[in-house]
Amino acid sequence: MNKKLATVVGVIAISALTMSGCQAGDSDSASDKLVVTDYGGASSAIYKKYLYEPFEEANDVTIEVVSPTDRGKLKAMEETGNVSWDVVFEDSFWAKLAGDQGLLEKIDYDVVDADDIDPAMNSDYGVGFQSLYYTIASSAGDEDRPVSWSDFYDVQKFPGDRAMYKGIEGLLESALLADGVKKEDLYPLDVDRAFKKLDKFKPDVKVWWENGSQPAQLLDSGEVKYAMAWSARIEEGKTQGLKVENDYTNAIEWYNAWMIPKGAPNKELAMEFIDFAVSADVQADIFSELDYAPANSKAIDKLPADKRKLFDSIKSSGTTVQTDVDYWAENFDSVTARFNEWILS
Amino acid sequence: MSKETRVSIDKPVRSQKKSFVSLKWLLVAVPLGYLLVVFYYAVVNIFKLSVSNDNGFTLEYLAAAFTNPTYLNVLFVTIKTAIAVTAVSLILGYPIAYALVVFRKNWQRITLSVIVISLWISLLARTYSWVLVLQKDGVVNRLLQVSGLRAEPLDLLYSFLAVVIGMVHILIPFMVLNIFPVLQGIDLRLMDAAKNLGSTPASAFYRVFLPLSLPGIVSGSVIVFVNSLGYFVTPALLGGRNDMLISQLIELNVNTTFDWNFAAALSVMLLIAALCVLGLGRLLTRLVPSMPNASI
Repeated sequence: MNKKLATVVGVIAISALTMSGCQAGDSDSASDKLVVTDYGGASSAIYKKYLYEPFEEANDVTIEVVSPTDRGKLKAMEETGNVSWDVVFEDSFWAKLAGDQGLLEKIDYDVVDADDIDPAMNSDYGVGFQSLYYTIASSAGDEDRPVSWSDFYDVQKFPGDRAMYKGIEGLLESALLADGVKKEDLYPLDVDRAFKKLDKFKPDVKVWWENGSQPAQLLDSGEVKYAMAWSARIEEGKTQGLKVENDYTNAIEWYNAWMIPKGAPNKELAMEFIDFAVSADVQADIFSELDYAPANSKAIDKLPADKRKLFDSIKSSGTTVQTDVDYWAENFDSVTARFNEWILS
Repeated sequence: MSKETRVSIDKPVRSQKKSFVSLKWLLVAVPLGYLLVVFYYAVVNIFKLSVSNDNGFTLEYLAAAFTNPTYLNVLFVTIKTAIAVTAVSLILGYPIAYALVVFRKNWQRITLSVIVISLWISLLARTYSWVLVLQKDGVVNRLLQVSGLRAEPLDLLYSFLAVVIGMVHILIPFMVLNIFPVLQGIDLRLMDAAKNLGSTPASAFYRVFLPLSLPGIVSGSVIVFVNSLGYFVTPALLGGRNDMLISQLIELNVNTTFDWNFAAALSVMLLIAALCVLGLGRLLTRLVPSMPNASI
């Protein structure tokens, strides 16, 4: 009997020890460790080289990278009070959305210098870091190809299957622009009108892509003729030898930002990290390799000539559509729910 | 074969010292405790989440899940896909398992390792390879065009067919590995006996061999079916707009729109549907007289 009891106690004790062991490990190293999330892939490797490693050296800390960022996991951490992330990389609008739900720390703009960042990208809870563009991509070699969203939506004028991102980001804007809405009058979005336009367009969309690498692949293999794509993934495809082309006219600009989860173990250092990440020199380093646009306007001047030319021409073309962070923070959930039903019907 | 193993396990246990035997319940208690904590606790919480929000008890999420035709259709597609994948895996997997039994030892070993090694390759890699095979200028379409069977490429990718092909490829090892040991345990002399008593080879198979192999068919089908119900990556990459499975919808609600109550309601809906189908399967196997009862 005693032996039996001893075994049971032993089993419980061992499992308890291993469990507490994990937690102790987490909190002990909090002072010299920063946990950062990003989307992974090629961009994460570039961040590591020009952002994570220089910050580690300058501040004598270790950065642990978790990818991809998982919104559901962040919410779960906040609900259980077991927050292990310090800095999170996400959409700018989402910083406002999650911040209003109490999931994020307020940004201390005394620490983070955001003077050279377009205020449209920032909020109380997130600091703009980079812009990505929803562009019209097509297979290379076509002389005559759509450059405006009304052309892209017009299958009579430009016959062929289309590929679209399976999400509302940029999609509703593109539908309204195609329907003749001026870019100054986009917001607040006329959601009904956008879905009406999309109803007509739906049969011509062969693929609703979910992974950023898909459009270049789809265009190169001839699976579709034109695609709404993330600009940098098309540029990446080009360097890999895929026969694809990107057009930045009428590009829809979407913002990414850095933010800090509420109760992050290393909040002060996280704030300094964000300040470092959006500083002009660091941004110039990152975006001379990465094909997204830096948020810091001073960084553009420090880019290599070809990159500077590209971003200058995008900015000066006057056709770029800037998305509204406040609008999406407020309407993302309801419009997404509607989109999810729409796409299945 | 099964008799031998039973004897070799029972004997030493019975001859063990008493103190060890009386601790046998630990073998059950530890895994059960583990399941209680990490599995049943979570399931109960999901139930709770589906019927309550900040205002207390509510049926609005379950009602929305069970009455909205769009979501019911996703459930229907999920079950349809799972049934198709299970059926195709069975039709293709059974002959493989049979061949394994008939093969000589060396061939058996090689074939088995090929099947098992396929499980080591990342699911994502295997799914993407089907994109390359099925796409417009992929292997299948090029063969069709070169052989002159078709001038225009077929639209194979982003369809129900592509989802089934991809999922069968990933799940068929589970079918084979469940059927194979059962077939191996069947005394092949029974077939000879049947033939000796005047049966044709075909009827000997249908009336003797097939019924004896039912436990393997059932366990293999159940595992493939239940796995299919929760599939996520493969339908997302190979399916079209309408081939969304319910797990994709749950993920959308967890990660994109943050509607955890509704995600929980959808999970409950999936659980109920899965239990119904499993119950149906159990009922069917009861109707087969030769079926041993401890199968599901």
